[in-house]
Amino acid sequence: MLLYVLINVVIAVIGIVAVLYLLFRLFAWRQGDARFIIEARRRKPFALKELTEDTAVFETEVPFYNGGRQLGTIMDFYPRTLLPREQYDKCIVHSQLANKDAERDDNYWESVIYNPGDHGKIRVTIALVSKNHSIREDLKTFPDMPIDLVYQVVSRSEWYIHKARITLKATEVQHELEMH
Amino acid sequence: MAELELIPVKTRILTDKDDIVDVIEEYAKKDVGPDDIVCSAESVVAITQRRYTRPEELTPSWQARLMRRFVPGEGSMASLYGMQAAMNLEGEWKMLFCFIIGFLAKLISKTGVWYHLCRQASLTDDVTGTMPPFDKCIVYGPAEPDKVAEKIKQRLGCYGACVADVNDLKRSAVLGHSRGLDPKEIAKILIDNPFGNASQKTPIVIIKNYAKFVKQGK
Repeated sequence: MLLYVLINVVIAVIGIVAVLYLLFRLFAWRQGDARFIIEARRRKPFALKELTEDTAVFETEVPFYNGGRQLGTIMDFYPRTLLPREQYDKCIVHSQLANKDAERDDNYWESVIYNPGDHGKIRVTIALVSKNHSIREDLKTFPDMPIDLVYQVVSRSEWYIHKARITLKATEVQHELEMH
Repeated sequence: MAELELIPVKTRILTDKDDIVDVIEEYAKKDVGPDDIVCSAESVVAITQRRYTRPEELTPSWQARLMRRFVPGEGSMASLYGMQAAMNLEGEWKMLFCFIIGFLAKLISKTGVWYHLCRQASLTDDVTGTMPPFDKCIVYGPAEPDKVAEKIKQRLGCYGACVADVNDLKRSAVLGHSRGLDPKEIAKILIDNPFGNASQKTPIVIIKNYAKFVKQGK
């Protein structure tokens, strides 16, 4: 009899815990989280900002927004250019990323909180430095160069690092050089 | 007739390599007189004491995962890592137990009980709480703020010193002070946040003529 009661108590406790856990999961699901959307497709075309004998500096702006239901913090944001020497070896590539709303020139991303629905914009700057001191000549064979925009987010959930990708296209480079 | 004047003092970025009393002496001594109070921002005191961590260094417990869901989004405790950082100092079970007590107290319209019982829950600043390069860190409350204030007072020979937690949302509290000061009165004087929470680099504020002002009041 006692054993029977004990089993019932254990089952009841497990049942209550399970129901509470399910309710908590439902609450957490309804509460949601921050969700940053980098609108890579809506980026501005790369523009040539500076051209010297050996350096060409291109710039673009990429919008993003917090499409989630909670506020979130972008702790870090940086560009990663992907141009292996096997593919193209005539330039050294430097990249910078800045928050348009809090401009700074040190490639440092100051952590920012974004409320749900908040929009922002980043500026990505790519400097191509010719190894032969003839940037116009070297850029004639410049290929499409992917750039990963890497960002670290923390909000109600665990921190994570995501990437979005834009491409500095050969056609954009050629077009801008022709215009200058 | 003496008038109160608040003078923010600009410093370099301070790190855990600095001693807060030495820094205050270096930057503020020339402006501090025997009637003045020297106030230091609590987050900077904590940073010089190496009381900060990074989200990447923390392993969230199930208690932190549970509790952060019930804290309003704007607070540092809504963040999984802000909550865990506070728990690392206060204890996970203590925080959970006090959280339940705080919840029950709220049912009878008594707010702030949890924050009162677990001081680190109110003192811990989540990421973005301080200026670069510590904007990516979670900064705890300072250790032994009364002792720090007493040391500052003795070194500078001023009327008093305090360690204060002030923000732009008109929240002001004195966490530690030298003997003889009224923390509530100092908090009122600092309510407009003369420290500046962003990149102003003014973690020290001198309250000029405080002693004279008090005497006049009496």
